[in-house]
Amino acid sequence: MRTHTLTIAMMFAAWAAPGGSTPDVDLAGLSMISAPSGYEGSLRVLIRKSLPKGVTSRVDNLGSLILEGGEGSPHRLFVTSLDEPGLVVSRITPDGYLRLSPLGGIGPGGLDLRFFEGKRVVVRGKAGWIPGAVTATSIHLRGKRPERFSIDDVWVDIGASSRDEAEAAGITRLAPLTLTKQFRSLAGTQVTGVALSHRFGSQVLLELAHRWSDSPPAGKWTIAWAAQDLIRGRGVRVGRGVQRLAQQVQPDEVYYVGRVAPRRAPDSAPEPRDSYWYPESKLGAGPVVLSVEGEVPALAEGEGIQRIKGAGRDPTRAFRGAGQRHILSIPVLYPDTPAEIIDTRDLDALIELIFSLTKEDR
Amino acid sequence: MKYLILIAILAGPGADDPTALLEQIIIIPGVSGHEERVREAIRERLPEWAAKVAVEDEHGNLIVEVGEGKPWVLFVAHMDETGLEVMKIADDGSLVVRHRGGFLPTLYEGEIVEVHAKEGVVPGVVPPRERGQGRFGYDSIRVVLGTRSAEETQGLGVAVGDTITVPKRFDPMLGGKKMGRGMDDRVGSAAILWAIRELDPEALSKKVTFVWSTEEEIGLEGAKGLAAVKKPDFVFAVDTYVSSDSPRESPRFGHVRLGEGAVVRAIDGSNIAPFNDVMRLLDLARDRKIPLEYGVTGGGNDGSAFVPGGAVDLPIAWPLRNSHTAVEIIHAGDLMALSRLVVAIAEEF
Repeated sequence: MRTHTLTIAMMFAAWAAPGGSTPDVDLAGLSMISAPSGYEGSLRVLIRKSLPKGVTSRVDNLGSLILEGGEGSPHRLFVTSLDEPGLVVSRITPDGYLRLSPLGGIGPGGLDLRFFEGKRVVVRGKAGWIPGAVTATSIHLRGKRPERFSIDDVWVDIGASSRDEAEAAGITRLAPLTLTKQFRSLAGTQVTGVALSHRFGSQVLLELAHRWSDSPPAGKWTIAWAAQDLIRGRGVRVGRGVQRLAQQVQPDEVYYVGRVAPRRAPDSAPEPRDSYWYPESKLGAGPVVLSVEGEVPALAEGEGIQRIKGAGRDPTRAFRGAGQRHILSIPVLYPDTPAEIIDTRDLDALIELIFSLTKEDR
Repeated sequence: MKYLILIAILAGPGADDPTALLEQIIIIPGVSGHEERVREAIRERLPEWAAKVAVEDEHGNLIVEVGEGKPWVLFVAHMDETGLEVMKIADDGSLVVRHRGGFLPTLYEGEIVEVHAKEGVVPGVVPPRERGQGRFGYDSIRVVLGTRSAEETQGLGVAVGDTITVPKRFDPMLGGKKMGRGMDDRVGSAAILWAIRELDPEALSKKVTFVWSTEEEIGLEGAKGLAAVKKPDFVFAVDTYVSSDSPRESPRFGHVRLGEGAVVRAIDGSNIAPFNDVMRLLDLARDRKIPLEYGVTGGGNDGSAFVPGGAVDLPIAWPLRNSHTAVEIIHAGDLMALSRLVVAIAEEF
């Protein structure tokens, strides 16, 4: 009921906004879709279906969804990630258990595997996502527990008693897996769920696409939902999807709309999570802005903006030739846990902030 | 539409399948000491003859007693489950809690939970450990609701004494398996509920008592209270057989596979069942063509509370994976076998 109320409230906000057009999916709807790196298809389809009528989009060969419009300069790029932390089936044992390998966003600086132990997961079979459980040791049997829960400890039970039974249900090697998706409204304006920090950017850009469909900014613009943003090669700090995007578009201004990556703390042992810290920002106090190159003009003296310096990685790095590069985000409480919390006021304010960036052009 | 109505009727209190009964009662929260809603759900599903004689004792146990004669047999399944209880609402609006029953505290870390307040469910989150904090124990668990003051939290209807669980769900899996929180011991509760609906009370040749007990997870409290006044000859605790049928467990003991039937919990942490009586049960099951295994496992059972009063404790069970987690897994066929075993014992043991 509370989620429904939130949905209505957000839709109302969108109707009241300039442009009139509104997406028919909200953050709750987007966040309930599983989209681990390399398997973003379902989310991409949902976003594409929710684009304004008449808008032409394309999908590049890595799976990123791209919208382009306008002409001339400046050329602005707004990009976010499509993917979220997940695992992939690398083996099915003779007795029907799934063994897994990490995709993106798992481990140091991401979702720690300890949050998988004894938890519900979903695995994609040929006929859709099916429920499973990451096995746990029972306190009654007092089995040995690992010092640190690792990928070697992950055994997924889908109920199958044999490899044949699993495969008959469409579960094969290369099947993706995520935590079971949840989205709940908390008190006031806060919401919580799995991988919200990886999904709010999608909603922001979807909203932007709708607003711009009726009231486009001056100059050329590109909106992109980048696939495999959590996958980075050795020594490469930019996600695969953004890197591929940089081979396709050469913007003057780049705005990465999404989570701020945590930094490794210099004074701590190289252990997962404990050795990372997230730039401080306060829930409900407005969007978070990190300017990598240049200064966001409309925000120079703006209030209700939380400016931070430095992040674990620079997702705009692939566009080093651009004069303006910024990360636009919102505060996330308990990042990289199954219950990330955000404040919808920050989200609404971020949408307004981005819209205002191009307001004077129109 | 007519099919939906049919499904709704079948899934209602009249459902005549132990798994359907289980699905109805497992989603009801019943943290130890707060079993009221479970008890009422079970009472509503009793057959008419049983509902007329059902009583609730001072400990909250629900009791149905029928028949006369020896040996007097008593079945007991517990209604409660592990979880949390609100001890205090802090000034910042968060909840100070205590654990009820044993579980791995890390299973709650960074998770969404549900506060079962008087007016309904209030969602919350258990914050993860702080950076640099090594261990996450019971004392690390607190719950935030998105509020910033005690007054705001109270405004949501949350009060001291409310209970907290992970979201209650029941998921079908492949191969007839089912997953949920609180299989321990709603499966046992469903098994004797289904059995009582199958029995003809007029045909029983001995005294039979069915008990849905309270506070098993925090020290067999309901059973202990009842054992002070009930002195059966045999007590059959109908509870979990914690199975090592899972790749991360040692198969040294507790190794009964899911899907191979009910289990006699011959030896556990609280009881050693007489070997000859275990064999009698196996013979009975064989005669009735009920698949029945036996073995040694961990944990205690309500029946052990009756042993000092002279009863023989013969725990019967079903194998369970991932005990005391949010992903407890059973096989529906084992529940059916267990239900049939209860009927057989009431009629013939």
